[in-house]
Amino acid sequence: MSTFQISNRKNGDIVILDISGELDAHTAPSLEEAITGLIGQNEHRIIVNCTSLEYISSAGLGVFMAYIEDVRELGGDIKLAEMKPSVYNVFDLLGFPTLYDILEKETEAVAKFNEND
Amino acid sequence: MKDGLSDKQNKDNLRSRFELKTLLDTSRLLIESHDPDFVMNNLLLITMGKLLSLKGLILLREGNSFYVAGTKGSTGLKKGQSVLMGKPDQFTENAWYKAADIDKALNTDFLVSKGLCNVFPIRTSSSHIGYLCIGPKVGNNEYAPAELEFIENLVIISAVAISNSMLVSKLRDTNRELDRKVQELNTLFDISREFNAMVDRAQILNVFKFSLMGQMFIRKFFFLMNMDGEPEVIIQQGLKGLISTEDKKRLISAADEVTLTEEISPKIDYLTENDIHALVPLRFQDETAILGIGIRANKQAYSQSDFNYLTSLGSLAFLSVQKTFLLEARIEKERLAEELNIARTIQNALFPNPIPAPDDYNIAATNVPSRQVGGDYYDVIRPNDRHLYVAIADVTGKGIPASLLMANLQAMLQVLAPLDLPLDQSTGKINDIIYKNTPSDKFISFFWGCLDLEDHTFYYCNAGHNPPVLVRKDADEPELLTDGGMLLGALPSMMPYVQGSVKLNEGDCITMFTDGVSEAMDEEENEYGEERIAELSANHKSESALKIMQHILKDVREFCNNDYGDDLTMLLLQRNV
Repeated sequence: MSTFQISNRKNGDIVILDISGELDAHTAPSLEEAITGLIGQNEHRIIVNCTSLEYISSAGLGVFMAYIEDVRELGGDIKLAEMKPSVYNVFDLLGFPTLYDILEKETEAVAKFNEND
Repeated sequence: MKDGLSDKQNKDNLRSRFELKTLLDTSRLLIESHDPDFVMNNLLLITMGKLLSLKGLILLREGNSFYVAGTKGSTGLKKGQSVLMGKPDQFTENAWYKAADIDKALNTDFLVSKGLCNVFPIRTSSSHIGYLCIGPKVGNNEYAPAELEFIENLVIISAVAISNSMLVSKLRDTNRELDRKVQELNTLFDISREFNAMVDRAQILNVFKFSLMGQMFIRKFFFLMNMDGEPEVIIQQGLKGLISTEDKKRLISAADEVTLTEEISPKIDYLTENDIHALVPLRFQDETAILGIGIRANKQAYSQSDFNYLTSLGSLAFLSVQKTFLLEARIEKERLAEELNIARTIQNALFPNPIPAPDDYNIAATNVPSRQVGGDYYDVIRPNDRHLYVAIADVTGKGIPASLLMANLQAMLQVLAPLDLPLDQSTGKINDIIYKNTPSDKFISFFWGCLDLEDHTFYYCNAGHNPPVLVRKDADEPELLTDGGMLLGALPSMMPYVQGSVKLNEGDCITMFTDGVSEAMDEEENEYGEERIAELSANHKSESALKIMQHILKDVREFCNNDYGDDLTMLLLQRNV
């Protein structure tokens, strides 16, 4: 059984999701639930902090794909930050950097949200 | 001059040393760099700086043509643009050419019109890589031979560097492609492991959806497969409107290989309106499914390798979905089997147990259903001290429908027996009820009798049943009990049934049976036959009813090699000696 944990905290009007462990087909639904939950609460400025994310499969990537449009239509965004090189490599291989803001530091992601205001 | 060198010589020396140093530095820089852009940028800048030229162009070979790999100054060309520059390996003999000569040879004004005047072929020892083309010196002064010689050397060094860096970037690309393939394989592996553990169809389809999105950036898709022979969309994402059944059928039967939507004629509105780009057919055994996919979120075109991957991923999902259906079918089957078991228990309780055993008589009976529940029936009812009813029946068909009808008949007999009505009348009533209760292709062959235990008269009525055999102790020829009428349930009772009667003396025995016994078949499809039942009954008439029945059963079993095609039922009534 793969381990995956998710928790959130706020920074102003930005919600930061801390995800850890392995995000695969098995655990993808809990991330999906978290993101749809945020959209439901009208929270659409989202940073996903991947500091403790050890592994991501394409099903996990799919969750990001599935909701980015909804979030952007609401005027928000999902930005990703603090990835381990091995995790970033997967995002990069599949071409995510062309569609997503992937930042090294969480603070940069916060700044990016604020500079667009 | 003190050291004997003129000013000019001194200057020449200095210049030579400077040039050598430049070449050396450049060479080191270029050889160490694995970035083709950096190498070409350097070549252009040094050339232009050294020759005081305002424009420079590098053309590289790609297959049999050339493209712009680097450009500086106003050449009017863009990087990546392909250009007409003759064939590779042309103009490679000399260290450099005049642009006008090349244009003339090729009958164009490609170089001259761009304001380029000198062309240096770039080649390694084994192959021709491209050209360095440069514009005239500021002020249109001619290039000095030393200058051209310097560029010639620079080009030689750069050629090796370009060739190396291109090789490195090709390797890098290949490596990345391999990484991607590994990632794809990992995904397939992960997903097949997940799918294996899943029995919930919705969950499987959800994982499939995310994998399509995450791996391929596919936001719009549908999955079409046959469900009970009708094509249905079992999951779709981001699509509007409905697809007609005809179109579904067309899609699922037409595609043999990946088909682009634009190739489909006549076009299907559902596909074009939803920007479905291609259809990927999936196969599993004889079943087909279609995965329709929209363009990708990053606008990248699908490669053959992408289609291959989609086929693998789609097939995996298809197989897993099929698996859930098979699993459901199996669960359903097990549930049915369980219900049949219960039905069997109920049916067994309908047979008399224990069989009433009046003084003076000896009764044996058996029922072997060919399936869990059957349509054969026998009963022995003793409603009062004086009367004993025996009955045997065979409902057409087998299984649940036959067993329901059998239960119906059983209930009627249980009600009628205590009423002591004449058998012919009762049989008529039973027929009318069965006729009303059953479809026209369901009948019951039925024989029943009522034995008067005081005067040993056996009244009977045979409604289309195989005639029971009466073997008398004191007679050689068995008698057949045929009086009665037609099968139950075929027609309303227009002709009254007839009641027959025989007197049973000591040692007389009636063998009743269903056609499961008489029509049991051997390997050559010969029927066992009623005669053999009569013959065995007669041969063993001195033995007990149970023994006689066992003789017949054993003989039938051997005859058909234990392979009864039908329910098998016997009931023997024997008056003791």
